[in-house]
Amino acid sequence: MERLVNDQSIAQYLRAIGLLTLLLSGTAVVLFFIESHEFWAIRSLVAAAICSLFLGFLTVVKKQDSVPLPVEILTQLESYSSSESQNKPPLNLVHWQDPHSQGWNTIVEELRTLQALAALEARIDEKLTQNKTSDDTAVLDSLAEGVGVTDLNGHFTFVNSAFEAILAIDSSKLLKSSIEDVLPSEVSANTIDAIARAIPVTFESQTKTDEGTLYFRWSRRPRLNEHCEPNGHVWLIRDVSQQKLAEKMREEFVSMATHELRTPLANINAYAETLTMADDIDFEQQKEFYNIIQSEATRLARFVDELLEISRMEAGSMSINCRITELDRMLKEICDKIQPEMNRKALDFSIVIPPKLPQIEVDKDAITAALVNLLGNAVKYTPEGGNVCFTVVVEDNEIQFRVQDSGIGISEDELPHVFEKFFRSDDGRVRDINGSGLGLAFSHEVARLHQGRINVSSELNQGSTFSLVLPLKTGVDI
Amino acid sequence: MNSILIAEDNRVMADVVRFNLVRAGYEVVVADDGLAALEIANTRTFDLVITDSQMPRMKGEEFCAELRKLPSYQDVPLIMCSAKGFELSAERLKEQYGIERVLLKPFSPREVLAVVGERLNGTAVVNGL
Repeated sequence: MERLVNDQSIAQYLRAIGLLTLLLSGTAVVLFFIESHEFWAIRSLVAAAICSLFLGFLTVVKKQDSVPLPVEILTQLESYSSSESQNKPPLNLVHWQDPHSQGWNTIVEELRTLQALAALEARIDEKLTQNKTSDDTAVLDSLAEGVGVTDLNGHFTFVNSAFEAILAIDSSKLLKSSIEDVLPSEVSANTIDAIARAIPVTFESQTKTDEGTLYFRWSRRPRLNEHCEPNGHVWLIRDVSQQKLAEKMREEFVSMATHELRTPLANINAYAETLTMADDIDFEQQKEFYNIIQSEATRLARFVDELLEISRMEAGSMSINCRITELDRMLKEICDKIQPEMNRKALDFSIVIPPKLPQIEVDKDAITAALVNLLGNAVKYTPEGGNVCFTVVVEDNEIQFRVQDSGIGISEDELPHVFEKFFRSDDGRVRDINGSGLGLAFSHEVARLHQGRINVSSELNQGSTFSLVLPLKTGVDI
Repeated sequence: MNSILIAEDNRVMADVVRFNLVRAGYEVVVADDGLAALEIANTRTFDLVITDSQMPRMKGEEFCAELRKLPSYQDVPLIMCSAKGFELSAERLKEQYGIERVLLKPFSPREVLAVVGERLNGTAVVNGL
């Protein structure tokens, strides 16, 4: 820090010349009143004038050595401090010989120290704010939930990345909009009223898009400033479409399961009661009724087994127990199981199996269930009189079990979802047929546990082909 | 002899209901779904109709709605059977289609006979078969 200059030598000269000027002027006045000394009086006056001129000259030349007024100092300080320049020259205020200059200099120096400190503080604050803002933004941008901040007029002052993505509106556009511009049009009057009355509010909205209906859950909380005064709102928006879909699937599953449990139970109950009510039923009729009760009980038991498998699959605890399996026998059992269902719908069921089949190490029960599932679907979704073809192909160290039908087929949109748990087609023809939406998920899981896969190809109204492919030499992952 | 039309896709269930109704002295015709039942109803008028709710091609509610459009079926008693109990509102079904009773599966054949007897003969009691 540079100190102020206090040029003592120049001040002493000025003082001496001033005294000399006064002395010469006084001498000239005294001589002027003494007769016959006018000549000396004039000379003294001329000398005083010369001294005055010299004093004036020195004053002009050394203007910076003049005594500045306090106001002047303050004005200079103000203009200095308001300067935007980063590299300001050191402040050079006074070259002052007065003893008071020391006081001024101290004040100025302190002011300058304070000024430098304040500038430093501002820079640190600025830096901290920048870092804080960018940190907060990074954190908010990493959220899956959309966060939008509005001021008291409802205009957006901040939106995170998820907010943009969920609403599919660019942030630059959002920041020029207000919340009313993006609120769904179907938000009820009650909700709007709650919003207007500044009540924390949560509501859901639906948006129809090309990819289907999107469900958003909105919530709004008041935002307060440091004095706890309302300052605007924080809006949260979450895409709950997947959740809604899962809920819908589960509801349908429960509905289906109820139906699947009630139907055989109703039959068992009705036939058993009929047998107990009427004692004059002939023997053949009685036998038929008992058989029906037994077959309905089997159907019920099978469904309960399926439910258990499903719950194991849901819990992720499904495992397989692989053994060397005679394929011929397994395939015969499968075809025997499905043949009556094929007959019931008058389907043309053709079986193409190579004469010699390799032995494979699989979980026979699981593979049987998976294939019965695929064949059962072919029966379910192929209208009466259609074709179902079951082909077994061995090639490239793989064995392929292919089920091809001439059924109602699967639309291109729905094809990627058929192996998802609880998925059921929106096709009315499928809705008319009972199904858990878990059969294909189960078969897919069985294939995966055998390190195999299921392929599907389908065309709407033409038919579908499902292929369960297993590696022949398999180190089985259990 | 009173005649009854049954619309039920579950053949096993339809057979046992028919067996009991025939033994109780009714004439019974069974159709495999709502559409088949509607075709039959177009050809003749039955005294009472029993329908399942969940059927392919035409569901129970649609069948009842179509049936009520036929002049001869304005006052015919309708009974609905369903395995999806909680999803159906008996009040709504009565108001919309004049369905008099909703029987939830599993129901007892005695219950069916009682309801049918009450509607057709004015007697709610079934004393064995």
